[in-house]
Amino acid sequence: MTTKVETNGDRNSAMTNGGRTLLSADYKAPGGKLLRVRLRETGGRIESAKISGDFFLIPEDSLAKLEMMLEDVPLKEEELKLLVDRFFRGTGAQGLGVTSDDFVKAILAAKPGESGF
Amino acid sequence: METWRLVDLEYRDDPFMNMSVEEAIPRAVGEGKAPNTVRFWHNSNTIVLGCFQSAPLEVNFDACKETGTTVVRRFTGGGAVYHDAGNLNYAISLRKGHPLVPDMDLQLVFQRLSEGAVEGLRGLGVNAEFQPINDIQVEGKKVSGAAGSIRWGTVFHHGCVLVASDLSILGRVLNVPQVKLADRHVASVQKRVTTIRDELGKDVTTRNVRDGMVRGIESSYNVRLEEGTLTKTELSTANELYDTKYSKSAWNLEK
Repeated sequence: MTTKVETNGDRNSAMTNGGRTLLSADYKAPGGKLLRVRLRETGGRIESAKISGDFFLIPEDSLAKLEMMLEDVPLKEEELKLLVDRFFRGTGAQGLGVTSDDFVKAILAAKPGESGF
Repeated sequence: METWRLVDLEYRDDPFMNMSVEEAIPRAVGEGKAPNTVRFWHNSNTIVLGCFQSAPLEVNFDACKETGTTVVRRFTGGGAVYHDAGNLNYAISLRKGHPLVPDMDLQLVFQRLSEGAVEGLRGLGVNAEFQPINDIQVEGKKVSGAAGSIRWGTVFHHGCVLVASDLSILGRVLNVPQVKLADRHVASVQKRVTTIRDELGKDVTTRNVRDGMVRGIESSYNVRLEEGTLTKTELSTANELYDTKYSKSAWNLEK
């Protein structure tokens, strides 16, 4: 039933406007749920992040906290990993259909060049 | 034997009020102001979005306009579902710490609290089985989806059962992202979902399915469901949630 599909960037897009880039990606967690990421990026850092999708995360209001924590973070795997892990440890949030790793991969999938567009 | 309250309160033409009641019950149960409760209800044409979903990405608003479909957001995660009068909704609210769901693992909650529905459907002659993460399937096709949370001191689980829904509208009002279809190796929403009516090959009403699920829940969990009504507290909470949250586009559409 489940298929291994790593990055699925069919909706990925990037638009640049005055040094600020709007990025988006859809990422389907293997055997899990969909994460849809929209980012504003400036100079390699996340200016703001919006994450939506059909996943489960409790407590529900923790997602807004993750989005806030992502502000001003470099769009790089190591930094994002540390931050998302810190989010889950700090809030005790429980994901279902998405792992900490999936959030990182979904955010990185929005990065130009990361998913082959 | 434990007794749970059985509530059939619904507002078929007011999905916002239906959703307000849906939240008011687990709030009251967790506070000890209402007993453990099972609720059954219907919506007329409505898209119910998961709390994390983006309305503009998920909803085909033109198709909603053409078909008279309302959009409302629920307080639980998971994916968008389409409700019509052929769709039966159920919700289970158990005080946190209930022996049926002793630990706080959401996957186990979905599995355990889907068992009553599965047994109810099997009693009607449908070969239903729980399919993780949150589906009930018949012969590989989805017939019910669930969502839930652990919140306000309550373990909450709700789901909808496609009894005799119009699947052609379902396919039009929701945008299904390509990545999701690709992962499941199927071509459209209509091909991966089914209805109880189609599986049984005969006319069946949501009332038949509701009665079957009452029996399934009673026998799965060894409880007795006793018909009851909402308390005054629950009704006033529901009214307040209606005014401040569920009737507002800020909640329903702005994510």
